[in-house]
Amino acid sequence: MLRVEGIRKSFDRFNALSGADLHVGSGKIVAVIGPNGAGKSTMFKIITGHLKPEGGRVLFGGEPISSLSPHEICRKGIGMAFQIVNIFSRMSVFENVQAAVLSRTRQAGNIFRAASKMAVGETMEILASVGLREKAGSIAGKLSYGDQKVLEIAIALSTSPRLLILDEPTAGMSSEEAAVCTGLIRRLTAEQGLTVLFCEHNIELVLSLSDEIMVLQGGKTIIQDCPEAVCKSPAVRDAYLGGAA
Amino acid sequence: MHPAIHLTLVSLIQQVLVGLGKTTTLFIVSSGLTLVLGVLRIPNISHGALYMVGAFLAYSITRMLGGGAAGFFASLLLAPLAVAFLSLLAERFLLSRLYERDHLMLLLFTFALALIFDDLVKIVWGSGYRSLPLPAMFQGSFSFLGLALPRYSLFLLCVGPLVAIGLWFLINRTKIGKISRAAAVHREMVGAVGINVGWVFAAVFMIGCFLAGLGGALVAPTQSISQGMDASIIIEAFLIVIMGGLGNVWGALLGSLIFGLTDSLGVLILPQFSIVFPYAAVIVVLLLRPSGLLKSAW
Amino acid sequence: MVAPSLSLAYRARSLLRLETLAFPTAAAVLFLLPLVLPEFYVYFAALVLVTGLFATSLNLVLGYGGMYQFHHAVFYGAGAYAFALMLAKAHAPLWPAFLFAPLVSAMLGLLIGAICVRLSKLYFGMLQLSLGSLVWAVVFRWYSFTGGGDGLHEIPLPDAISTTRGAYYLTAVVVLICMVLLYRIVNSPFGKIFQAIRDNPQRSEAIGVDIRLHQLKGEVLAAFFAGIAGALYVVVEGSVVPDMMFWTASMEVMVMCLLGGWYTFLGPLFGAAVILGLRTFAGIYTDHWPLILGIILMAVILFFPEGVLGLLLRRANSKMELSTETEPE
Repeated sequence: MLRVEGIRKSFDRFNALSGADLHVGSGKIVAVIGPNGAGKSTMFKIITGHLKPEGGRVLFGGEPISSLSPHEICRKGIGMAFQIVNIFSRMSVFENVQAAVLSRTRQAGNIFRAASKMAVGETMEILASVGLREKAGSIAGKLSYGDQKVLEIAIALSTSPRLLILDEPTAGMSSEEAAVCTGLIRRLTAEQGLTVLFCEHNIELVLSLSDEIMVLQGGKTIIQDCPEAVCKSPAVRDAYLGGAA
Repeated sequence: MHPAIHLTLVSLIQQVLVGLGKTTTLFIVSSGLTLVLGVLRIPNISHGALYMVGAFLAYSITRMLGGGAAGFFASLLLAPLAVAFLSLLAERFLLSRLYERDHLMLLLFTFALALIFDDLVKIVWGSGYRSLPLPAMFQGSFSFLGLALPRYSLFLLCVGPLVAIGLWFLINRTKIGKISRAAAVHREMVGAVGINVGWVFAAVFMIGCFLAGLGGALVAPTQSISQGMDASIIIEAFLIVIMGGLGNVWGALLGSLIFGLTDSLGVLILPQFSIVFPYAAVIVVLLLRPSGLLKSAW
Repeated sequence: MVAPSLSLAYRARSLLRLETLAFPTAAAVLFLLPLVLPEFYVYFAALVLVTGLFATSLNLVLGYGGMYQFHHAVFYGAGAYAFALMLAKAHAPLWPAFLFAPLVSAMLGLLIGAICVRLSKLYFGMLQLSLGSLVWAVVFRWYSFTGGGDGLHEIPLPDAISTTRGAYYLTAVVVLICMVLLYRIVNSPFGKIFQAIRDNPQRSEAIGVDIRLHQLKGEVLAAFFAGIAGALYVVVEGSVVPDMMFWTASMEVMVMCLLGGWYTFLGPLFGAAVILGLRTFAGIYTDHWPLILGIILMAVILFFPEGVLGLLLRRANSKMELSTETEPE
């Protein structure tokens, strides 16, 4: 479904990515791991169009997408939950999700109807599925950090993505919040059969959730394989786990 | 040579000279504006009012000192200094409280400053016109190869590069220039290494407004000094700043050249609508390079 | 404790009731005003309505859209000139002229918007300020067509609206309709997405919103309503001057939005009433209105950045939250 081939990107002479490859098959859950600064977030931002690669290509459903702008990529079916919480903090939880639903159903330009009566059922359904239904009326910026991260995922889900990208979904959460969030991701993927690409520092979560793991180090792909193979790979032990192994 | 062609050639050269003279004042005013915009990120719409204050002060100072060349030269220094002092008060007591606000608030706040400066000018100098004669040494023109070159335009042509060199020295060779260049890009960093950013900002703001006052003092003998002379210069300066790239002093120089020359040459083509040419130039530049000719400071 | 979703529904319903009441009340008050007010106040009320519509149209993009609309007065002026020229030079009947005005403004909005929306915030605002000044300069210089700096006076208006009261009633009806339309736009999906863009442009892109297109549409809509306000200005004043599209006029209308509160719908109208009232009142005693306005503006920015209505609304909201939380089951 998604194929990333040899992308390169540098910032001020620092090579963030120097030839990273990735393949995400339909219905698969793929994790990207690697040390801090390996280029994970940069790669995600290139996939979603927020950054332009200097080389290589990104294919989605066989179609090159790296020259498209973020909103076009979203409309192709890639939904993104950002690492740093990126919600509409002055709007209510309901409006956060509703905005995404309205955008997906191409109602964003409608000036004739009252928004408060539109897409209510679907929005509430999505909120219920992530457990935020009770908080629909709260201002998003006033939610707890864990709830904001969940709302972030809910917004990404509301675009009905064919591919959902999660950039460190549990980063910065307390262990209880992380457990709730992990359960949520697990349930969503099981119920809806989503194709998911995520990166995460929590190795247990990665091992238990993913069908495949891609290891990124120094801006290069070392290996992409099933979790067992990745764990056994000597290259990964040398490069990533290092002395710890 | 055919007289008609000769006439157009002569007027062309003279218009270029006039344009370069205008370029000088435009550059001086807009470099101050772009400096403040680049380092402090304040779109200072009161810059034009300070320019007007500079012109009125130059008028009073020259008259007080007898109206001769000495008075004129003294006013070129004293009027901008007084403007700089005024701006220091505004920065320390008012603007420095607002650095974290968004640009819209800063714009409106400096608009409030402009309103107050405008009214102070009205209170001090009344609402009539003032005019200041050029010192005798700058009256008339040099004849050169059959061309009449206005002396004052030539003087302005000397002042412009001096200011440019001074600014280059200030930005590249002084501590304050280095800090402010760093502050333009990484605001928090400069504060973090223990430099008192507040005073650097105050100094940059003062220098920027000094240039507004200097611009005003330089044009004082060439046009009627009046209420409302601030309203058009500020728009021109903004145009030049966005054309050159926000915060880039050399961009301001380039922008001033384009603006001054298209303005003065436009007169030859379509006198009534000569004002359209510099605007058209800006639109063309920005369609080709949306963020200005040279690299913006941020 | 009431369940939050319930109290939300309750609050929405009470708001709805408020909305349905607001319209007939406003209509009745606007209709009755001229019957009790002396002539000058009727004229003043008409001017407040016109300026209020102008400020509300600005607030659509500035407050709700978060766009740096630094030179909105150009669209106001364009509407006024289009209307005045149609009547005075083309001798067109009233209604075609009245429809022509907002269309000209909207076209200008499309043109200026198309150039500006490619740029980010401050660049957008400064370029708009410059382009708007160009339009002003052309109007100011084109003496034979626009009357130059003198403007156009004694615009031939039909008898029915050439009296103060007649002008007032036309203004009141049109402004009321436009305010209802603007209110609906603000609360439509378009308006909600606009607010989403203001709140977080990056997120908006990532949910598939074409920000530039959306902003361009907003710009055209705002220009359209500013054009209607401009035409009404001619109805009320009987004349048009280039000063109404000078950049200082744009600053003043931004001050109205700020003073009233730009996150509120009625704030700009309220701000327009306050500023016009103060100016008229101050004009009786002093000619230092700019000084007074400058000081008021500074005080608002320093102490009430949300504006007067914004402040009141926040107070009321926090009280309402308190009361719903303490409501017994």
